[in-house]
Amino acid sequence: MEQLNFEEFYRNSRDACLRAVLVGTGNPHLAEDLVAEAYAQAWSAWRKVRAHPAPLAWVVRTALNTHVSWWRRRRREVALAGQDAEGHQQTQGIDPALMAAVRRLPRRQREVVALRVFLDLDTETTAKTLGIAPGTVTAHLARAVATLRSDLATAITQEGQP
Amino acid sequence: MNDVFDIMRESMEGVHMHTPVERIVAAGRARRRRKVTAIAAGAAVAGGLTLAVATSSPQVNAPPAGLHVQLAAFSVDSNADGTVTVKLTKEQTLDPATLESTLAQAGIPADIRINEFCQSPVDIPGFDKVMSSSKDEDGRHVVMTIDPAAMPAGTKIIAGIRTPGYLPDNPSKLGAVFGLAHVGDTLQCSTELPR
Repeated sequence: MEQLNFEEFYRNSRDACLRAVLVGTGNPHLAEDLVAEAYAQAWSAWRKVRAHPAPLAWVVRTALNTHVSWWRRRRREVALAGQDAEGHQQTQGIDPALMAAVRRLPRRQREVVALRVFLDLDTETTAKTLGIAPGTVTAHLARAVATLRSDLATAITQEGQP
Repeated sequence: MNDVFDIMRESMEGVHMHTPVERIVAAGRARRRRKVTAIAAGAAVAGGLTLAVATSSPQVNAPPAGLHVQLAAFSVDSNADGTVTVKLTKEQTLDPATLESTLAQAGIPADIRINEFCQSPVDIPGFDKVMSSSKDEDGRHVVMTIDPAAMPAGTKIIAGIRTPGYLPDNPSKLGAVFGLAHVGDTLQCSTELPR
């Protein structure tokens, strides 16, 4: 019963969490691994997470926290055959101009946007989730939206040019 | 503000989580099991039980002194400080079984695969303390230093190595990927290059 409950939670919330983490990290390739890891943690502590006032926020917060140190300690990539260490990054199904604009935002602004836009959290809950003041959330959001609007307008103008 | 939010939401509509719930549940269950084991071990120590350690038996992950193996595709050298230096030669396809057995002699359990890339079903912290890598000065080798003593108990190194001609149309520049996994865990493997 408990597992069914978790599975339903996962199926209903996974896409929203993935989109939030994708925006929060700016990394389409890590996002799914991070979210999967966060859900696994949620299942291992399901009674606690289920009772959380905002379980989706818990998952996204966990994934974003994990992102800070997880990748380096989880695996290390090296280049062989005369190649560089960094893998080629691909973005599938996401507007590249939008992703580029998101990546240019400071981390905190990305996280605020992620929680407000994709989890529909209010200012208070966003502030609690990120451990910052509500006023800071409002300020981050306003700056992020202004930057995104400007960047996207530029991208649209450039696309329209011959 | 809403116009920007709408654009973002629309742009992400095609983004979906593909990880099956069964994999999530299995990873969560493994995590829970490990937590229980750790608590049980802690309780045994707290209860004043003596954990008997046979000091005469070989220590796990203790490299024998002076192991030096030099082959065309790789070399393995144990160092005085207990670390082990592994040098892989670019453009050379190595035999994974030979590298595994050589690493085992150096006190490093390993699962080496060619053109198959695996990851542990659970996150194992501390890999940055286990392994460091750097390019050799001549650019023909990749040199890694592994500290077997830093490997969490019951873990092994997992490595996926891409041969020079593998998936030539794939633009990824990845040559090899290394990580940690618990011995006995079922690895999540793919012949696709890791993202």
